[in-house]
Amino acid sequence: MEIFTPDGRRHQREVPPAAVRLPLSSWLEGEHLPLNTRCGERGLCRGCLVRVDGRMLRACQAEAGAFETVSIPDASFRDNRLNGVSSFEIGTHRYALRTRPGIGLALDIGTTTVAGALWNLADGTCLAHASAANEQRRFGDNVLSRIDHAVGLGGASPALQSALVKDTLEPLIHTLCAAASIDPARITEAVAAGNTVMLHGFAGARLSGFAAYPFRPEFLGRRTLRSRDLGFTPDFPVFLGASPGPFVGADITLGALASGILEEDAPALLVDFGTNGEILLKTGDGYLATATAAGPAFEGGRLNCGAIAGKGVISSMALRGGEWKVTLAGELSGRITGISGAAYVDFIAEALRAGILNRMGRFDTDHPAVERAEVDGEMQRCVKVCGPLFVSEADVAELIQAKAAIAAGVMTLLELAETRPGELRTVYIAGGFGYHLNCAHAMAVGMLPDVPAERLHVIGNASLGGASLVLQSDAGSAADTLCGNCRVVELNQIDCFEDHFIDCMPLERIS
Amino acid sequence: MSTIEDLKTAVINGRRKDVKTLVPELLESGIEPSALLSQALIPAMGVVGERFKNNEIFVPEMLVSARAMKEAMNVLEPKLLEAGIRPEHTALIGTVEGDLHDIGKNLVATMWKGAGFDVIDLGVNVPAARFIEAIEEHKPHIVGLSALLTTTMPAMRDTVAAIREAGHTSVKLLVGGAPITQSYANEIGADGYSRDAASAVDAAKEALGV
Ligand code: B12
Repeated sequence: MEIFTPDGRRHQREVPPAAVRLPLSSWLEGEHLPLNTRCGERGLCRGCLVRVDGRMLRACQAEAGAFETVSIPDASFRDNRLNGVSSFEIGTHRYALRTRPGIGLALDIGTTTVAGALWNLADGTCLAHASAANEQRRFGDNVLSRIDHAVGLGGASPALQSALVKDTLEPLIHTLCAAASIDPARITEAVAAGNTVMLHGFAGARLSGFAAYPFRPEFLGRRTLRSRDLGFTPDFPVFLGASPGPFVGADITLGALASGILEEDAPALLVDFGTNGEILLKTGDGYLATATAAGPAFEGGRLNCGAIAGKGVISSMALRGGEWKVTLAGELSGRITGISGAAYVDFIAEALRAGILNRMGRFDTDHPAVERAEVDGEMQRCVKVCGPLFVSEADVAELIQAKAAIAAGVMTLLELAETRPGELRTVYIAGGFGYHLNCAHAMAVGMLPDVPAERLHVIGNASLGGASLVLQSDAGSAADTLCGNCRVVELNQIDCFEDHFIDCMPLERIS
Repeated sequence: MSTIEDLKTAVINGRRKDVKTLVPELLESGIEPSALLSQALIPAMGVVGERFKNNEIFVPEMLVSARAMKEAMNVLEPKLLEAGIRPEHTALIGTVEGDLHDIGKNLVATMWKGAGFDVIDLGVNVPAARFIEAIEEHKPHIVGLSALLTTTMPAMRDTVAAIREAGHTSVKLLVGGAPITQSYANEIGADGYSRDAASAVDAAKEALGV
């Protein structure tokens, strides 16, 4: 078969007789030409669309043996240069540092990306930090698809665990060790943060308890495992952080430790802009936590030109004299490949200000920047950003739902705590945006309630920061105390959530 | 003086607060509840659905209009019941077991009300047995099942099978929710599917042959 990849290369591959009936997407995966099989090859999404004889078809629904020539469009090609956020900062804290000989590994296991940091425990210096795509993505881009896959196998999936341990974390550890010129065998211990589903998959635990309400995870409290039992070659203890609830994970508890919110005066807020949209509110007498399931839009998921900030991806943009001025995440090498979540926020805020977009997310058809173009076989209103990159009205609608979910989660917790947004003393913003998010824009589009700029802190990958902190100090027990002190709010059980969700949909300030 | 037309416009534009004052005001002026329903609310939701289908509005506007509609229905429904007015068709709707998402389902319920159906909402996390019980009690013409999670799609399949096994072969089963597709609907033996709340009205009418 002749396969064209978006970089313009042509690959000649033979389909062996045994593979003829395999789904085209599975076969390409084996040939190291992976597609965005977001729905786990169920034929539900458009992530694996390929062009064959001038028409587009889903590679997961077609047989590998059926074609002579296949071309993979940019949007379907699973880019393994995908970058996550491994930058973080650790706020002031009161934990006693435990210096001792050894090399510590901090991990943040996210649904989309994983990040790690290597520490010299003797003097608390960071030797290296890096991130990579979570190779479990081939089982689906959201946790539910992966749970579904595991449930199909009776609950636990060795394939899922090995995709994480063998295909994702081991290469990441090697990257970290190479950067620090350290032999992986010298790692003495590890601390992992991550959402509950990822930690279950990591530990090889059954995922069945997450499939439907009422949720019954196998464990929530902290755990210590041996890396050898997980499938790693070097052997060291691996500490998993404690989670407050089935969908509110150790990523937010450890993130809270790093942010400094525990030391902050109430009311204070921590928002993690990830797929699961976890939120922690510190009130006068404890903590409220929830997950808003915003979806992957802020990480570029389900958007026409969406991408995780990395090489060749637009990390911010501004409208100047009718032209989009874009800034790239890495240095430019070749083509500009996508728009990051933070840059989409810039787009919306700027387009709103310029009158290209109205508060309901509609483009002004009379505006010269707005054109009609065919997207996915439908005519849609679009605005060109640069090169082939554009934003369509459907993209804006997707972002609106995601931002409404997060903002509504925040407003619901505030209402439960009888607190007005203006009373918030501190707001920490963690997660996939990294340091790229323009907070003024985020407030202008109503992603976050309005607070004075000096109270907002963008803190990067807080859960990696938290895992690092636990590695170096006695902060681990504070995470347990936090879980004990934290009420997990199930938003479906709170009537006002739906109202807030609808109220937060327009693109306007929330106060 | 306010008119029925004002109410219609307020619903279309999703001005819930205006709706809240307009409905009692119009009722007080002597207009029948059934007239408000048939001359303001039903046409308003018709316009909303039409605009949605024509890509003139999106989900946010639709949700806002539906909420305004719901506000009006909260006042009107008891009055219609009092007057003994029952719509010709009854629909049952619920989110399947294990799934707690209901914003989309509520929107479908409102659009069905807007199309003049009597809608009984069973809420979320509804086991198959509860659907069957309610079918026997209310004898609906259509039953809507919603699922938003990939992992609760099997519960939807099971519910469809259980309803059929219980002998309810003529009631029309419509399914929807973000992960549901037409082919999945066919596969599990549902009578209809729709991608959004606006076409859910057409799907229901088609299934009923009206
Ligand atoms: C709001 C929301 C929630 C709210 C739900 C509140 C409520 N009362 O419903 C909360 C925060 C509680 C929540 C919880 C969870 N959620 Co949620 N949630 C969402 C969100 C952001 C929006 C869904 C929504 O209401 N959309 C608006 C409505 C109008 O659209 P709709 O539901 O699709 O409905 C339309 C159509 O589908 C159709 N339709 C719907 N039903 C029916 C029925 C019939 C008969 C017909 C004909 C048509 C039809 O018409 C509707 C109107 O046009 C989506 C992400 C997203 N951006 O879509 C995730 C999402 C659905 N959730 C998800 C997840 C994973 C969860 C949780 C498991 C995780 C968590 N964070 O705790 C829990 C599960 C709880 C449970 N057991 O159900 C995932 C599902 C992934 C998957 N493939 O399965 C999504 C996609 C987010 C993601 N991670 O990608 N969620």
